[in-house]
Amino acid sequence: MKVRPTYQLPSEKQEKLKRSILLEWLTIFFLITIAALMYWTMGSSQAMRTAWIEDVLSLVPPISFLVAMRFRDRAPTAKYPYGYRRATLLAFLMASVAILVLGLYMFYDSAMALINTEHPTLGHFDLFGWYIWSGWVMIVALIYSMIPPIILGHMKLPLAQALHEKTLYADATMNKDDWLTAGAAILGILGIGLGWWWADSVAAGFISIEVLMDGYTNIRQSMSDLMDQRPTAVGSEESLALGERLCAKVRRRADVADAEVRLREEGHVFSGELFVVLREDGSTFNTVATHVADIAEEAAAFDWRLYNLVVMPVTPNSLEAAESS
Amino acid sequence: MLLLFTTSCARFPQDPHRTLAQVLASGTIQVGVIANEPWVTGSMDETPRGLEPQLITAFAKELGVEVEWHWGSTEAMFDALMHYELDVIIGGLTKANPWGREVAFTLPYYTDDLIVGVPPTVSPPTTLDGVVVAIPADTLISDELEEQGAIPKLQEDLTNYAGPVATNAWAIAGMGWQSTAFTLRSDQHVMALPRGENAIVMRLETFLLDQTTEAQISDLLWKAATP
Repeated sequence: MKVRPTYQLPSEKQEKLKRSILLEWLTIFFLITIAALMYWTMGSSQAMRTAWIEDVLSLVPPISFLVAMRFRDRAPTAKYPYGYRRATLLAFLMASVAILVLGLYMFYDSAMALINTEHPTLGHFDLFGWYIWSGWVMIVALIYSMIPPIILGHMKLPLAQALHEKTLYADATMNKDDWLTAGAAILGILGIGLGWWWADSVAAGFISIEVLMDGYTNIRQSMSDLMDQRPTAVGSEESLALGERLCAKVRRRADVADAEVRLREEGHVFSGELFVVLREDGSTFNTVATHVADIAEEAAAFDWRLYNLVVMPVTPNSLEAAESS
Repeated sequence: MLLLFTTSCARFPQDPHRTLAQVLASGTIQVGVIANEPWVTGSMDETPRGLEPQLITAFAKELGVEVEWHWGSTEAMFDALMHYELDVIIGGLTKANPWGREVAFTLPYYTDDLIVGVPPTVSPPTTLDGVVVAIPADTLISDELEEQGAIPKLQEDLTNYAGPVATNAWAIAGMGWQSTAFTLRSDQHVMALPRGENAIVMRLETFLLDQTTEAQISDLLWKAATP
């Protein structure tokens, strides 16, 4: 059996990938410190508990990304001739479903807290023998929880664009918008301080909607990764029109009469088939193969994300049939 | 935001149900008492005695209000507290009490250690394994003793007893006995207030933190336990 060749990232992109991996490790490190600090100061505030769950859940995308990095460059084997990419995409999909379900549960929980008119109790906090209102300690923890994700999110966004890493992009967007969660929880706690017991569960409800939206974004992302969609831009659903441009280029070749292409996204790489109608020049079978190899080489050089593009010589009739369908 | 901070720091946090404001306005604090010696002693229709009524009386004095005592069953007291008919409940409550989910507990103001102690003339044991340890009446500690391998023995009167005893650290100190390194259990004592009434929770906690010490409470407990 002939397995796929292993994808090689261009060397100028390798540096960026290394940087992304480092940033994801930093993200995990800071999220753990945030989650620990929030857990320690949590008390009985619903908003604080929801914000804590949100922070723990935002560990999922960076962990998925790092796990993917370990597995996806494994060479394809006889058993898995198309390689291992999809395993990590499946894991990301499952994690995203878990986030969505938790978001639903958190929304239910905060709605019930509101319906049952639960009054959160925040007394003194024992800060190493110094006693202050626990609300202030929570607000300090929440302010801390805003800072590293915003900085890391902004650092990861351009890398995600440059590397065409949509998981990284989804993660960076979540980090960047994390201040909304912390901000809502802070308002909830200030509300408790003013004697508005409902402020806490309202803030928790808002945060759970944020989590639901994160889960939805991630599911959409991992589904479209698994669904072999056409190459689209990172951060929008706009087509890159890569196929059209590639066709135009191949059609300009002297040995090609016509060409059509079918591309799919496989995470950060594009693969697919290039159908060509070779010019009749009395070629023997061997020279057809040489032409095809030459076209394949030129096509692969067209974009760094193209991987294992198969060039298929076809008759003009079958190309038309493919077009009309 | 800054204005909010500076103008309301002094009145922060507030009670959603205005418990503290109502106590101050009416000049009376409604206190539910559950009998639990020596924390709360006395009986129905009496002014309660023991440690916690003393603490509450001092707290009321600090607030400049009178105390109205209400005796009752645990269930009735907590039900009244949840409906804001009472302001505080005392009764030797600990942090582990399951009612804590329905009401607000203060920070633990006293840690009641149940330890093994010996008379001054007896040398403390190095292990509890196989050692006979006396338990005074009304002390529930036999499970914890058995876990450490000790043999619990009920002992109504400790007057002439000359072996290891498992009881409260304040009682060991009060009798002039020596404490050993064996702590069997630690109960963290709290008082109960209406849930979410953060102003009065903060006020009572501040009083308990600033006006009491562990040593003073141990002393008061010993005095309350010995008529």
